Amino acid sequence: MNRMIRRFQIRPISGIWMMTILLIFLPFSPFSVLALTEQEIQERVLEITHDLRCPTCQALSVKDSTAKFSLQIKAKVRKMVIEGQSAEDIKDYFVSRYGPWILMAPKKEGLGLVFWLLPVAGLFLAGGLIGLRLYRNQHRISQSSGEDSPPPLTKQEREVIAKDLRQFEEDD
Amino acid sequence: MLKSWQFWSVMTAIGILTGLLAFGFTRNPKIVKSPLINLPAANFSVTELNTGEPLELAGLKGSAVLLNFWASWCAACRDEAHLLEAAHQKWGGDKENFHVIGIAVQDTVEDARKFAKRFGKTYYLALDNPEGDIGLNYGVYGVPESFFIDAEGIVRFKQIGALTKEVIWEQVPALIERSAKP
Repeated sequence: MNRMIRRFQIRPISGIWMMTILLIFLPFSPFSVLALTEQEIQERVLEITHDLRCPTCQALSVKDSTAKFSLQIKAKVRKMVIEGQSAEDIKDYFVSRYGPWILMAPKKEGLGLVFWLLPVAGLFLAGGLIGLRLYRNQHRISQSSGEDSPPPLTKQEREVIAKDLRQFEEDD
Repeated sequence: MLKSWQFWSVMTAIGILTGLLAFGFTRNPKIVKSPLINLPAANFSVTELNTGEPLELAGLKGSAVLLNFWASWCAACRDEAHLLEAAHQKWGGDKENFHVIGIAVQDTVEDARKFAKRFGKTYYLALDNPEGDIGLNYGVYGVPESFFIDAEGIVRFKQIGALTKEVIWEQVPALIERSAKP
């Protein structure tokens, strides 16, 4: 029994093991942002502010705006990124203050999902209507062409034609 | 010539668009539904513009608060300046059940002081920090904007643009009355 305990006894973690564990888990920890470089922070800020609407502009994102309110929002986003908050948390913060209109695109849930699906549904509907229209036109043409064309030749008629053709060839 | 269903489809589309347009005209663009309505007002700490007296919003619990965001460079803020002072004189002042607080955003101390002096503002005035944290916490996107906060610290009404006498005279007594109820 004692041998078993000794076998599974946990040894004090050495410095090397500690470093290895830290290196493995640091990217997944809330403090992972500490490892972010300035360029990575910038990229995250640009990515998030691209999705936020400039409150005082017309159809401009915070990223593309130099309005004072947009600059303040950029600074706030940067601060939150450095604090380690996720993009979703940051967007949720602004939605909780300004309402959903602060997002450049509606969220893909609830009523927002309707706005995402509506254009797709419209495309399918339009495609379906065009297809139906084409099918009906095609069907009408084939039907009308069927009505105007003469009935197929009978066996007797084909034999007469064949006989006539042979006659022509013999005459030549 | 349009077929019957085509005619009615076009008429329905025109009807929907006309209805939406008519609905839009009935709405007051200055009253925008804020997600902060009926939620606790974000706390903040500031110092008075002239006296340096510190103030924390949470410390005013038990009193109704008219929180006004303004700026010295804002033209519409001039229109409402005397109304805010009048509200402060009528319901606030020495009385403890109502306070007017003006937070200047994107402004300088000098300009804000000059503006306050010019319009005879005697209510509590402070400056938002350079990062605009108070304004951002209240979802402010222009000035003036005003929030009516009850004694429980809950935002009850938001006005975008200059306040009018009608809005103040309707909202403030209702806020004080609500606050007085046990």
